[in-house]
Amino acid sequence: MIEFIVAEKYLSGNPILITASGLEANSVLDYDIYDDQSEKIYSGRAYVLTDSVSIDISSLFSKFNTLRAEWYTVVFKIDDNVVAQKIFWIYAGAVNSLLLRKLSSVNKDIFELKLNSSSNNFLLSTRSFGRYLFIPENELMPLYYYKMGKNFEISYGPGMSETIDHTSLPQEGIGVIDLNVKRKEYFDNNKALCNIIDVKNTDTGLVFLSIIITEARPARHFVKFRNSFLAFEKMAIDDIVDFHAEFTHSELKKYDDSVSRYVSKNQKTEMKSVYNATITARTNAELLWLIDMLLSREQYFIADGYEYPVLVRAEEPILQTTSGNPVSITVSIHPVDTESAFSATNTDTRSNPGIFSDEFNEIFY
Amino acid sequence: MILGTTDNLPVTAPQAQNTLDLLQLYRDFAQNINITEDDLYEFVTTPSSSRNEFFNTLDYNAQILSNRFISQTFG
Repeated sequence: MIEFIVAEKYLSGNPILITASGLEANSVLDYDIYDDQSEKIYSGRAYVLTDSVSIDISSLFSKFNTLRAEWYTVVFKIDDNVVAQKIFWIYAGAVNSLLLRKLSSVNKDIFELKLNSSSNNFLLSTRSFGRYLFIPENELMPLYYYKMGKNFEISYGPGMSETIDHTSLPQEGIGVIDLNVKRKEYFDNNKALCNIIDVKNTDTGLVFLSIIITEARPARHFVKFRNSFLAFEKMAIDDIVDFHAEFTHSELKKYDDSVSRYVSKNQKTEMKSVYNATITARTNAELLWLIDMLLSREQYFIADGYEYPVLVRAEEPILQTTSGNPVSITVSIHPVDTESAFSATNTDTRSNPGIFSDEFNEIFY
Repeated sequence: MILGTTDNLPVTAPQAQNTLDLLQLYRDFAQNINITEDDLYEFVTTPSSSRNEFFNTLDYNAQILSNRFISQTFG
């Protein structure tokens, strides 16, 4: 009997395996993939050598680079006859191989453990996978989660709580908890300032997650990045320790009549600003979060309220400690766009001196 | 670089109860009677040295909860 194994849910950055077994050896299996608008996005063919075949279709979803979840249909065909079709969801993001291996050994997946769980920390923050989520006051960003099937109560403090019930939602969506907005609402209604937010399971009444807004990190500069679930997070940089310029020379080959050959000529010298800074991880959870930031493909440097696309790279190996001691590492921050040089100390980046009058700048900036 | 051990448990950001009293204290501190509740909110939620200075003038309660963190309540 032919059997097709397609999981209900996959993460876009991890292997997406569809398996068929019970096939004839030395046969051909065709498959088509349709998106949620019933448009065919891919047709593939697998050659079956034994009686089963496993196909990794993850390369189709490599462009899944924003926070989202979408469903697709895979249709299997043998000799142009449709033999089966299955629906699966693709969620943005990835988890590391170590976690994948551990989860698979206990027959669990990340959806059951975190993303679709109503009694675990389901927030798409990689700061913590546990019961407590500590966020420094100056690193607050909206907290995202996948909505489908969730039913929980958030308590902001005495006198303000809300029940969020997504159990009747027909398909997946992205929910958000904006603590900046909720803190202000709490302040207006209760004339108090709250920092400990409890999330309870509505059925059992048990608190399974406490979000604790902690004292601000003493920092003026931040890195905003997409974490491995592709949600934005903000991390404080201890301080810019130094700045240096990197020069690159691009060469131009030009034909020189007098010597009848191509000669190299210097065309342009480009300067690239590089900033060195330190980042401190005080706990093992923070260290893992720091590694998540360094692996991110989308990073922004925040200085004076403006964001610049950058690449943040570790300048030294990150040593995992089991003692729980804080670790400080040096990172280099490379602006991606060499044209927009920024300064960590220059506050007036909006106006263009000498181009517009002060009156113009006052009105239009 | 591995730093030395630290006793710095995460401390909650400043909490406040009965901010109406706090508003009066902030008006006295800033010597400005026109300060509104919105100004107070902006001030107490924006980390700065003057905010620290203001909190140092107040009485506060510190609590250790679940042996994990300390909360500090002003006002």
